[in-house]
Amino acid sequence: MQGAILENLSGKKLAILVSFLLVCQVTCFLIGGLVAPTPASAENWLATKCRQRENDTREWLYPRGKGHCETIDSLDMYRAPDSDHRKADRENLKASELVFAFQIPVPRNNMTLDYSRWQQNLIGVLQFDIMYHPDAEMEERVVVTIDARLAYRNKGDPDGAWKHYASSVEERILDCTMAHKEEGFHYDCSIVPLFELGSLHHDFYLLNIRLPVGADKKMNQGLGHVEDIWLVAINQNGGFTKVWVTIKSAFFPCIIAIMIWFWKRVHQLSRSPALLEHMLMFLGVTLTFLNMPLEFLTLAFDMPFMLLLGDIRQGIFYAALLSFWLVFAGEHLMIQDCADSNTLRYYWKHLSAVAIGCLSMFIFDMCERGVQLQNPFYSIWVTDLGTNLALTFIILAGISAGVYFLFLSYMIWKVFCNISAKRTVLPSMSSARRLHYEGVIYRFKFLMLATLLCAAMTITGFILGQVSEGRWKWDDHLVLEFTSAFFTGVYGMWNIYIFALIVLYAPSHKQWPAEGEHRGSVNEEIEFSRLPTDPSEISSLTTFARKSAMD
Amino acid sequence: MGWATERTEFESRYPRIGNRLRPVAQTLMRSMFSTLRQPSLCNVSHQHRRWCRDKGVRNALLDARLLAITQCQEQFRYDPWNCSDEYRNISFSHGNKVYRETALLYAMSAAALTHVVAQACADGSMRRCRCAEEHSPEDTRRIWPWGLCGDNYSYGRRFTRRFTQLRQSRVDHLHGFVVRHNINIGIQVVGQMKTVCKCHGVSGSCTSKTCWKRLKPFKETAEILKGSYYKAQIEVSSNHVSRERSCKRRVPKSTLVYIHSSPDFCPSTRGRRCLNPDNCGTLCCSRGYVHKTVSDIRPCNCHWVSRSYELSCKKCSVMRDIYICK
Repeated sequence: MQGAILENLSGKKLAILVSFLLVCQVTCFLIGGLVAPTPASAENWLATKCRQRENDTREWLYPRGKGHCETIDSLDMYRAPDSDHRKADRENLKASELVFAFQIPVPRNNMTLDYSRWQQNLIGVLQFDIMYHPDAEMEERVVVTIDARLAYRNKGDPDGAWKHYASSVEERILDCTMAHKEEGFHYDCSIVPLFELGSLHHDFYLLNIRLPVGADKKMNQGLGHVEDIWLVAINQNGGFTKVWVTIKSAFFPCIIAIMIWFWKRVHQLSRSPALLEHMLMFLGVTLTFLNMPLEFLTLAFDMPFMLLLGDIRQGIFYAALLSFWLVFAGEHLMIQDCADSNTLRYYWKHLSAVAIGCLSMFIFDMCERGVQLQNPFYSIWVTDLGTNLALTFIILAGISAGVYFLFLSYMIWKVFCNISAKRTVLPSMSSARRLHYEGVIYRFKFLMLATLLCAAMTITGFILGQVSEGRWKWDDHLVLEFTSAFFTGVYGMWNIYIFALIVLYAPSHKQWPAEGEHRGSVNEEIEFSRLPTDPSEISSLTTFARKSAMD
Repeated sequence: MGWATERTEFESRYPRIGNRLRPVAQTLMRSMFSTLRQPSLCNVSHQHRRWCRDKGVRNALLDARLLAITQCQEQFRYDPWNCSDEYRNISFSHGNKVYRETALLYAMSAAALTHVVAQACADGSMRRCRCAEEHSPEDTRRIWPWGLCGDNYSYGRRFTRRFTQLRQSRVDHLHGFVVRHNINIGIQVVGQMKTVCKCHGVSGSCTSKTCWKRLKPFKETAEILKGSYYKAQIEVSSNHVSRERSCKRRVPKSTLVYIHSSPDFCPSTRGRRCLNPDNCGTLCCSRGYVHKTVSDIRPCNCHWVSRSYELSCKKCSVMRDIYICK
């Protein structure tokens, strides 16, 4: 009878392996913390107010470069309610003539900067500076209609050669409050997420925003005096992408190699692979899919679906990991020897919780980021129907997660019950067998502990990142970017966890001593003879668990 | 006047008042009251002349001047001192003395410059804004995509510090220290910004969150500075030489500091408008005030006119109370 490597590995070898993996873990954490910048940065840009003379709304207005637009310094003079304050020679400014233009990125240090493809994605958020005027008070919640048009240009193109990227007329909800209302002060308005670009393929972008006013549709009627509009452009940092892709590329071949090694070992056995081994392979494959450094392709091709693909890749991996834990717990909790106990069908009830949860998150993601492939300005949260739909799927996913954890906790509790029940029988066993079982229990618990530790560290890290500032400073030279360290650390941790799992659960080639030599008591002999021992070579841990279940 | 004789002894102790720092920092303030098209700050040193060759810098200086002076005057319109530069042959921005008003002017002009530069960096009208302390444009090209670019306020702060030569200045005497302290307060107040965050993790969840600071309107900055004008502390040095360290210990980081007591503004408030009887009590210096009620036509019930950035308002007649100091 053969067991898994975990059971046959000596304590010393196990310690060496664990310390090697720990070193890898710490390295991942430190690379993220010391080399990489923050995962994303937000740049605040102020709109240039351009005046459009022609009626053609397809024309692009840009504040810098040859052929730049006619700018308006301040809207005050157009908006003075009594005509005495207005400039005598001014004409009326029509709403369609006022264009808030953002030409990003803005120059720095006398250099025209351009977006690098390493920066991966761009999320645009608007902030309105709305001045309080007692004669035109705003309601707390207004719907803003935004006519947004996005264009791009590349290096080497002439200054005016903007090409259309996307355009849409969108409605957004704006919540504005004010503590003490005084003229000249600004409302405290909520942010308005405007667009999400899954790829940052071009060098320069131009955003033209109009706020159409129409009495008939009550368009923007509730809006106060918009003084300025700020665009906050959040993009992934190129430095972080480089470090991230490096870590992915490092893990990618490692996991593939260990999977090949594992599968070869399994096939050297005379039996067909067990369910747990299939699950381990599946886990490895999903991790490889996640590790695949597809980001390199974005350097050459325009791939706007990368945000969506990233979500899907992570989703599949989580689904595989959650399913694995269920099967792992279940395989050590055989109540009876059903014929189909070694197949996935046995776990359909438990796994359906995972499936429903992941499926609803997938549908939600398709509704938001999927539609954004067509229209980057789209948001599901704007309409009531969309909000309800999104909330339905998120709540469904939440319920599935709850049901899943109930199942899992119950199964783990059962396993521990069985183990402690077995513990009481241990003294009556022969010494060699007892030592062996004690070792198995210890290592099973060790692995449980590792899982819990990984989960706990992920959650602790997440909470620490939420409550603390992003940077941890020891002195002027040593600054730890905690957010990046958390991301690379957690990513490395689950890779190492799965690496360890595949290594430790691979079938061992060491032969157990012949069973007859150690059967001390008749009682044990009878128990073992009832188990389907030969010729199947399932891991002795499973054998043990089944046996304990029968006790 | 009492305040003048009181201080003569102090001044004899500090014959070196006025040093390398003063010209720049003072000109910053003085430029607020100048009507020249070209900011006078541009002629202080060779380096300043070089800076001013940049149109963005010149515009920023002019904008900062306008912003500081209008906001200061608006904040202090119901105060004994109405943010005027001169009063009874005392110039708050020109002389060697640091009054409470001078302290405010230093802070206000530094704050305005920081604010205007930060804004100019944000809309791209000032091309010289840098990410960090880097010098060569190649460094900027390298730093920016990697993700180490600082925010606009950081550049505004660095610019104001460098422009007023805060770093190079010697602060081994009281005047230098006080000026530097007040300018720093002005810069700091602009930096008190609200943090706003956006979640953008998996499926838009908060596994990734990016936060940024939002520049507040300058009116809020000016109001905070007005508050610190009231709370300003007098700094009297007992030592012959007041080292920076000894000053640092005593002065709280957020209060303005001055050296000379202010003159009595009471005689100047004759005929000034005051806000309400309470305010008139202090502003009119117990001379009393005249109360008038006038009817005024004000716009009300305004709404946007279709397709045009124009407010259409009804005209409402309201009764307004006016108080004028005797």
